[in-house]
Amino acid sequence: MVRKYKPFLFLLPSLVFLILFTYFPISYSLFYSFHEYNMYTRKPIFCGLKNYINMLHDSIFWQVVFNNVIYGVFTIFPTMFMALFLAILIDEVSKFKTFYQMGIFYPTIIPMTAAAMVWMFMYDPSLGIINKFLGLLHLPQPGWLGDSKTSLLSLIIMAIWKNLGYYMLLYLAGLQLIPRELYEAADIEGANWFRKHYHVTFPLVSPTTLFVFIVSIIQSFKVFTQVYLMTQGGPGYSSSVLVFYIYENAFRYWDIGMASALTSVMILVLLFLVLLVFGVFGKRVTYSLI
Amino acid sequence: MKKRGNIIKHIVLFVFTIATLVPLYLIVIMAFKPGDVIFHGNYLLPPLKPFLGNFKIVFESAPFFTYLLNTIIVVFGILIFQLVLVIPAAYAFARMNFKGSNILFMLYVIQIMLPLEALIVPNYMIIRKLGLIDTRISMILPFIASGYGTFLLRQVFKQIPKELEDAAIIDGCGHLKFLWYVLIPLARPTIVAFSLVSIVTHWQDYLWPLIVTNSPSVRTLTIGLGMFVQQESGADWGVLMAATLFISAPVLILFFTLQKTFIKSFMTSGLKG
Amino acid sequence: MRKFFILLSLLLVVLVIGKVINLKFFYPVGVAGPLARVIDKMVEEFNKTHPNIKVEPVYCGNYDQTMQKVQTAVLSGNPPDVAVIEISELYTLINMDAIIPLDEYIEKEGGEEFLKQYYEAFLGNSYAKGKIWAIPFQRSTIVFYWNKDLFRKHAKELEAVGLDPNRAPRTWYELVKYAQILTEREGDEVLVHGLILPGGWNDWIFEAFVYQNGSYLISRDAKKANYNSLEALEVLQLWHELTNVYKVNPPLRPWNTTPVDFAAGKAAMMYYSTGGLPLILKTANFEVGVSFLPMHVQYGTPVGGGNFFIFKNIPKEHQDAAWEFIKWMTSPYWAAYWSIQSGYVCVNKKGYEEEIMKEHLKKYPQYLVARDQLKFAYPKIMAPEFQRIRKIMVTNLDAVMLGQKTPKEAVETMQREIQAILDRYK
Repeated sequence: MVRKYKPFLFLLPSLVFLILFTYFPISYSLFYSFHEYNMYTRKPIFCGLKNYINMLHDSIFWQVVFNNVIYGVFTIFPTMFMALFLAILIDEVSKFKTFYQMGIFYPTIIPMTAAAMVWMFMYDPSLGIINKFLGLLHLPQPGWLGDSKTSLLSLIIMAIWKNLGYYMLLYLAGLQLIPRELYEAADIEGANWFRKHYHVTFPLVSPTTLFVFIVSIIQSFKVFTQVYLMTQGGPGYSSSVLVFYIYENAFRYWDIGMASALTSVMILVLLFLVLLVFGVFGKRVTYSLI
Repeated sequence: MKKRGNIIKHIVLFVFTIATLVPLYLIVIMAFKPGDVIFHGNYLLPPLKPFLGNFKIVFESAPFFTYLLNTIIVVFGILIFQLVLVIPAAYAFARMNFKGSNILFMLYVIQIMLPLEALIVPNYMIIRKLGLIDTRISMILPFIASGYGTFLLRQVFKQIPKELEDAAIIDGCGHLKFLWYVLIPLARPTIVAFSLVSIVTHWQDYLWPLIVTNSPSVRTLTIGLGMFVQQESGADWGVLMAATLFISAPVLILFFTLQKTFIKSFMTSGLKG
Repeated sequence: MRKFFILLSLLLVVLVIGKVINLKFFYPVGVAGPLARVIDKMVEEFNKTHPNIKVEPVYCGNYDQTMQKVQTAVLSGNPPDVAVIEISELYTLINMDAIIPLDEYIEKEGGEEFLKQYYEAFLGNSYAKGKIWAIPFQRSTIVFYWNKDLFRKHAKELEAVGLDPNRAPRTWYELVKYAQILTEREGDEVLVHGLILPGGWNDWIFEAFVYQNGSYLISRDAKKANYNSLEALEVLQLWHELTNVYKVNPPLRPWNTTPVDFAAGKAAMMYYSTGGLPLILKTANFEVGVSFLPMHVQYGTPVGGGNFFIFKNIPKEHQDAAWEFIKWMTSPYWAAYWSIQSGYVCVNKKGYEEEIMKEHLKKYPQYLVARDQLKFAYPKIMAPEFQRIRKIMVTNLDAVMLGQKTPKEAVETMQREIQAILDRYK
């Protein structure tokens, strides 16, 4: 008798917490998204789709979504390509490998809060090293975090710095699986460095690319700490992202109904995106993940 | 011809590495320089005489050692609970056949795609209902059912050959003994990898501790640093960098001592085939 | 028998000691500077002298963060016992049913007589719905800081247009002229700004200018928004010109780094809270001048800072203990001590007679300016959902400073959105 239930005994502890802190919250969010529940109402009042309608009419919401998209696109692609590029280089050189790996990967280890501190200093328009450097080259010195045109860009640059090393290591691992014979064959055919890697390496690291892509998408939705510490979403809403906007609605304005609606939308979008990417590109990949 | 190409590669790598190292360099040297020196723009060169006054101010201003202790308790608490919960679950999925195994597993996989950041509001309400606001345990619980860990370990457990399992059954080993004496030692590199990833990830937790804690007695390093900024912001970058160095030092030290293990861990943290 | 007596006395001791009332005290630090340490020290002193009360100070960040913490705590059913909160949040706190009126406590202390020890300008933000809800603690006004050395450096140019290099500008007109002369450029780059109008709390500074122009932003009863008045528009127009036309003001220097810039000599004049004074005096290596804010139609500054509030839904003895705490922290000596350490105005009139204060003022007469400006001070705007209103204001003011919105668009937007919020509470 016990035999039958043994698997569930093994599963039970983790399942309990999984449901309690992931699935129950999802339904909770959904439930409250259909209610008006804020400082004004004090108790949740059913209101149907009102929160969603308000959200769709809220220009700030669209700005925030737009920011998330821009942030995602401009962190994912540059990081991915640079990571692959650097991984290939490290793979091909024979000396100083560890130095390069450590030096490029350490940002992943440093707590985001610490990174935010030092980058706030570097971005300081008058004292910071970036503008001082630009000044030496007689280039324009933007306001970075204090200018709505560059606030999001500032966060993007920092994100690339922070994640590059991790994706690079993933690609390095993926590169090890490519049979050397393929490179030798390409060399014999007279392919130069770029063509060699474009035709051999790039397709064959596609499982890693898929993984990096999915992880990056999820990462780009998680952004909070740096926004909270460096810009508070500002100036205006130029650097506000979804999680930050949810935080503001919930904990600054105490509008739980709206925050729940935003949360529900975010979950849906996340799941949709990941499944989409997986569905479209997963087939192209020569492994089955499950 | 080949040699020239090689040198170019080294140059490119070198430039990238040095550029990436700049922030770390700044943190370290500015931590040991007095604020007014930095103020007047002299922060690029390492200090001839390291100035320890910044650290003194850091520890006098806020209980950073308490924060350190709390962070350690929370991070290792999370790790231990994760291992305790995830190893049996991974085992069940990897080596036991039961109905609904695939569907249940999907639940774990989906969790990977839903970071806690997406669920702060309802999770906050739940913790509040449980009366756990402002406790260390509140910073631990939501993270312990790790879909990622379950996935990773299931992968590794699946790779153990059936013959070993058969041998164990013949020897009269039950599930638990098999797990403990055979699988876990064989899966050690992956468990180590997962542990390092978990430590690095949760050392950085910010949003969740921010909303569930208030008191300095349970506050963690990242929150402490964040609040510290408000006070000293702009006034004294030397002090701020000293605090920054302090909160990063433990993980950085771990990183430098276990270099190869770290690099290997993160390399294999991808979910390959 | 002996055992019984020992047990009994132990029990009594436990009962007596056990009678210690633990108070959770949430507080912000609103200006740059290591003030949490000062609060810790003051609280420690209080705890020592009041053995049956133990106050636990919980530093919550800046004003916004502290309000967020308070909101979350109250609405989760876990309120603190006593807190210092930014004064504009009074209506929000009342609507949340978070705080208790203090009329009874004040009556017991002597009613009006008791209140007389505090400056009226600071009490203005304590009244709502016919009751009194708060006691002033860390109160400030905006003051005008000027770098006397830089003024002297440009003495010739100033005198050439009839301005006195030995005093600060007195009117908006003079402000513009001084700023233009004091701005030092090298080609396109500005080396020294004539003036800094900081971001972060530019809503507060905006209020000051609007008052100087003879108008108001939100009516005292928090029912009417008045952002699209001609006077408000003129203010924003002036700000736009200073920043984007004359370019004497950098757009959006963060609140916390503005005093640093000023102290570094990167700006000749600055609008900032009097709470920035200790930091500036400590780090500046020039002679620091402090004056009233330049006038237009009249002199004026809103008051600012945080008040003490006692919370509802805590045991009565906690509330009583909290009242003791508040009285002590705002008593002449300690109010003076806090003022000296923080740069905030001493809320207790008698504080200025304390020895430590007199010593201090001899060295740094600049500290008196904020107090003297009180006669031109008026209560800061208060409204429900102030966090949201403040965000609307800051967003629109920032947009004008960055040249993204015209002053007209900004005031229209603010009027529309803020009136909509106020209407919800009619």
